[in-house]
Amino acid sequence: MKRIGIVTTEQYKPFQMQIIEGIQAVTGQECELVIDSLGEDPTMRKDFSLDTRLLDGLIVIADVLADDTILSLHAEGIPMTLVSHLLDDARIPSVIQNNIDGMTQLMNYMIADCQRRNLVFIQGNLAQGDSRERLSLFQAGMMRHDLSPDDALYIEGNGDPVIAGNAILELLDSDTSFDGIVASDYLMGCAVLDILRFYNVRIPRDVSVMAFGDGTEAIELGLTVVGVNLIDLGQRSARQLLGQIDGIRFSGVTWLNTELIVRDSS
Amino acid sequence: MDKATRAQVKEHNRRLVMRAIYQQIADSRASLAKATGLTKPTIGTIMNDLIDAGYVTEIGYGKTQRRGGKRPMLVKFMPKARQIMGISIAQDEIVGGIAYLDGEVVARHQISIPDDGDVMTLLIQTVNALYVQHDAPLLAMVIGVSGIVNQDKGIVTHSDELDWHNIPLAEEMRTHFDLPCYVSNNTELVTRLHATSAEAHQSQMVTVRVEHSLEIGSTFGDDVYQHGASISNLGLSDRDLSLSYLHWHHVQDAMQAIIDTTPDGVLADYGATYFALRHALHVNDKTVEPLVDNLSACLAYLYRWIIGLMRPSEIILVGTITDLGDDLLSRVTNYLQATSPDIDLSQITFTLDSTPYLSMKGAIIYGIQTEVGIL
Repeated sequence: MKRIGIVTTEQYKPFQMQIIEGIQAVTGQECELVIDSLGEDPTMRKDFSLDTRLLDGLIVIADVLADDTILSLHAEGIPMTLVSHLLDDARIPSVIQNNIDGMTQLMNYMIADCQRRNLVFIQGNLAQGDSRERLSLFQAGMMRHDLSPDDALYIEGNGDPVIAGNAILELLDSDTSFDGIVASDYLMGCAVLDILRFYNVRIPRDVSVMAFGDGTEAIELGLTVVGVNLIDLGQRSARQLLGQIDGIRFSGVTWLNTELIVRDSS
Repeated sequence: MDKATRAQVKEHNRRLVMRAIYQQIADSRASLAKATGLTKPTIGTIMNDLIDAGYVTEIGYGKTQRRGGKRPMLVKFMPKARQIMGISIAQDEIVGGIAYLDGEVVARHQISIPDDGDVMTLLIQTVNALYVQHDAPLLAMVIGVSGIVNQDKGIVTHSDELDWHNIPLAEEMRTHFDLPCYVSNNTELVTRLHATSAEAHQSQMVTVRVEHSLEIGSTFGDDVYQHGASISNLGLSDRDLSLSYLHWHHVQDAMQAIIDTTPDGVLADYGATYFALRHALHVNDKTVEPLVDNLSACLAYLYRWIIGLMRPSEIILVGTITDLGDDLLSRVTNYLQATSPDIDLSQITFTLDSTPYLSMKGAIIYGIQTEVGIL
């Protein structure tokens, strides 16, 4: 029986749970899954504690480990697959949602279909490649529709719903005019949508809100998103890893299609 | 009739039936016999084969025919029965995808080619990565490259971008993966993709692809004409330029020069990309005008040759240059009008297609057409 390690932040969060469900669907009875969830206690994050010598392969979900740690684990020779995380040189195979298609869908819908022009972009954690790419795709989307990216409002959300929520409160206080919000991830989008509704901003009549990624919170709040099938993301990462364990060599990135899911917020 | 010919006829009939079901021209054995002209026993044999192979399934009884008799058993094509792998090799990256028989790409894999990278090794790695991802039995792989390709033999005769000469690519990949492999030119694959759209059937279409090299593909009757090659060496005598001016690395160098001389300009803010160039035009940044003017003149020159030689009804521009948007097309047609008043531009549709990964998608379409005979 193969032993596969999974490193994640919080294994019972919807995003991680669905990915792990996908991994389990592929590995089935053939593999034992050992999950190392580092962020269960928000006050004290655990260190990575799996003994890689006892594992046949390792799946790393999102940004749970620093890139240096990932590279040093890879240097030990353990087969690895990254999920929703990208290293610049892509030596370690990864499976990730398609930012380019997703942001293009989102911007086309926001500008062409919803006719929104005064846009706010809530940035993710710009230390992460994914967030930087979404920012530049937002700017490209503005240019594609002959809108000036300089005219957009860029808000620092840092990937944190609380920070994003506070930033949107400041924006409301400042009386700045805007008619659309694009959030780099759906949890920040949810926080912002919640606050706008609380302050009786008419959604979507006055402001359309959209975000990248999908989860139960977005469904419950009726947030329009571009999402990826997270179970599929998990399944494909498991197939990548099992292939490597069987000795098949490859590098690069597998991108999965995103889908625009229109809900009440647009 | 010898055995080979009999097998060919059988395969032809099988494709005829499959296409009729796929295109929903017929949905029962009786209607298939009528639509294809084949006998009912032949249809019966083919249908049994197709059902056994999983390509077709029975979905229940239909309504009784007006003349009475048994209710027909309805059948449906199963696009998820097999998958096809399509790969496009460009100068700086390899992009591959796997798709079901309706052409829907379910996963895409991408590997960058470093300056010192071995393209063949990276190609094998791309196929490996897709191979472990397949959800249904794989029928074949199709590989697109830029340059001259002997499609019948699967040989890359000459590719400047890859520095490949007489590479028996199909044979090498077949040996490595035990899977049928076809090789074609990237731009011709894009043309094939465009030619499968409903509106395209009445069109004499030419695709112009501008990336690291400059290539054209064109339809020829119902098929795609095989003549892929770089045409970058054509010169523009009045501007002391050749069409290689359109190559991405030249454009990138020209943008970098603008950034160096105008550090407070739009390009300096957003980098050397076509989107930034578009934005600079939009905000009336005069420093980019000469560059865009040269690009438009080069394209207009190329279009004039295409129109003169091929009389197309549609010219489709593809590649990252399309990020410049419709403004580029307007400039090109203005040049054409000014320099070639004898051309009736109203007879030609000028479009651009900025959909990403067109060659890879075309490779998948080619694979489905070749292996299954549909689309």
